[in-house]
Amino acid sequence: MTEITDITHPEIDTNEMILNMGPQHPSTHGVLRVALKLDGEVVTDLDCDIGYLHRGVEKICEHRNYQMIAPYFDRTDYIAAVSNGLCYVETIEKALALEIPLRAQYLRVILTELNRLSSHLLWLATHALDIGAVTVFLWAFREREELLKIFENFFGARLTCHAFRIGGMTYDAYDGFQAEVKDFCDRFPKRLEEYETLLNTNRIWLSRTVGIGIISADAAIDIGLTGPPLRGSGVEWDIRKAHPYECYADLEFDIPYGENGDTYDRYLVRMEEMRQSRRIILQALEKLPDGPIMAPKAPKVVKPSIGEYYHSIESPKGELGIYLVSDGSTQPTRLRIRPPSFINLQALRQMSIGHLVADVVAIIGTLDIVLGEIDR
Amino acid sequence: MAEEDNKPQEINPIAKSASETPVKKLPRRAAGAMPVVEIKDDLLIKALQEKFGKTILSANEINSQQVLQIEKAALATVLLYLRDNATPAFNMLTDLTAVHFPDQPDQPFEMVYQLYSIAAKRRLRIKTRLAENETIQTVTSIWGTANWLEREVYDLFGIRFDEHPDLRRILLPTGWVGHPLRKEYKLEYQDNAWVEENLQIRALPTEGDFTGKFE
Repeated sequence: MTEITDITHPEIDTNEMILNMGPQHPSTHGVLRVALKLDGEVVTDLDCDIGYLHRGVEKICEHRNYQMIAPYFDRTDYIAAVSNGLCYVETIEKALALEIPLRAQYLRVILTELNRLSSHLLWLATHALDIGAVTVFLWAFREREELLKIFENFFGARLTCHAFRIGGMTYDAYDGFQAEVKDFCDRFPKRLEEYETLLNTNRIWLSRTVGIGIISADAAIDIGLTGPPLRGSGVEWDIRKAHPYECYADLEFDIPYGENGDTYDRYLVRMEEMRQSRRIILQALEKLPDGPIMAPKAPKVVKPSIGEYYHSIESPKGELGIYLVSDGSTQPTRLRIRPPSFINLQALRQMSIGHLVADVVAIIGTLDIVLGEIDR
Repeated sequence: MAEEDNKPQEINPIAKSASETPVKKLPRRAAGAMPVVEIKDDLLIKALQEKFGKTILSANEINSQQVLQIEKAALATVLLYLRDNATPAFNMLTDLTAVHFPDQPDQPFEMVYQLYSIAAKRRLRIKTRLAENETIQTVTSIWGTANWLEREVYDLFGIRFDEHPDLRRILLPTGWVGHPLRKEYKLEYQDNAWVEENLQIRALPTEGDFTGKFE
């Protein structure tokens, strides 16, 4: 018997290989191109190529009146249009020192939390689909459809929802809104349990998510992660609690956070967030007061004083902030959007190195990015 | 009827000069300013002023948000101090951006750093001014967040960062001429040469008024 010895294969090229993922890859959730440097199937380095959807929203804002800017925000993060609209109108209201009627505040919170549910459902659906769980996709879209019908009745649009105005709301709740939302909230926990039976103990799901894309709390803070990715790493920080806006201070809810900072923990955090959102909605529905929906002193011509203001809210993706510089005219000098997806995506490189190509798909899913917001 | 309605409006220079023009010609800075209060009794700000002296040009509360204006040369040391040794320690860089003020030709650019302390739930804004073509020290070694944010500022404003590990355009394609968020860059401008070469699309006409400014 001949002894087995090391055989070198000079004819086989063992160099690292560059693989382009996207921009038309379904699991990059939009037009994101990731150039992967691979050693076999292991990622040794990667580079994100973004900007395919850049339309210069910040530049356009400098050339529009304050009321005209608002609809642009529904189109940055189009999955969470309500949250984005809220962030914009709140920034301008704070810069104007405008008080909002209580009814408008509660309605805004209900709608924003419904929007968080629909955003998280879309995340769950696509994230599970990327990993191979097709049923969850269909089930989560079933519930999302109900939410979109509520939005359609309220805003007249399913995706680019826009009912918040500087100073309050354009539309009051339609007849039967409270009943519909209550009905949805009553059925929703059962649905969440259904998703969890499909995933929580599923061997494929566990092997694809546990220990994948680990990021420690310190590293997450250094790279600027916010929202569920930060909380998944064990940092208990949520702007709704840390700096309450609207009427969040009057509502009871908990901040879920993970331990290990892996994809599975971020999944658990978002699932629990949906339960907490439901809790907030039910409380807000109960407390919803009567009264006007527009501030009586809401100005017709919006002219914030000379100065600057930074305001941020907890969007479903993370901290969505707006930095406004005003020169006292009807158009902003500078309106900077702090996009959570943009900053969260930056962590992709750090989280993916050492993992397999297939795990990059899971990590992009767990970061929950929206390219419309990244590219602006 | 319609003609009669229109005529008096067109030929009525007196009414125009008396009622309309004063409203339209209001100076752009006629509106009031947001409340600005100098910060006095704040331990952190005091410690900074003692340590860094005159490099901290001003410490104000604008609209009840703390804003420090500091000298460009001291920026990196102040930020490093704020991250490591200050109480509270600002462990997070929330945002980094720039603003262009072409009406202040000496130092038309302002860099804005939004710091955050998760433990103390406190925000602090650091600002510094830059002249045209002046570079600034990168803060990527202090916060990893700054990498893409500085690339974005370079892409959209053309401000260069010294010792940045990877200073490339991020949103616009490589080879594009111009930096869109500068005020002199018109709203509907595009790099025609780039578009024709790379997208094989006939370019927009360069003549005509494409400012897009809404009046």
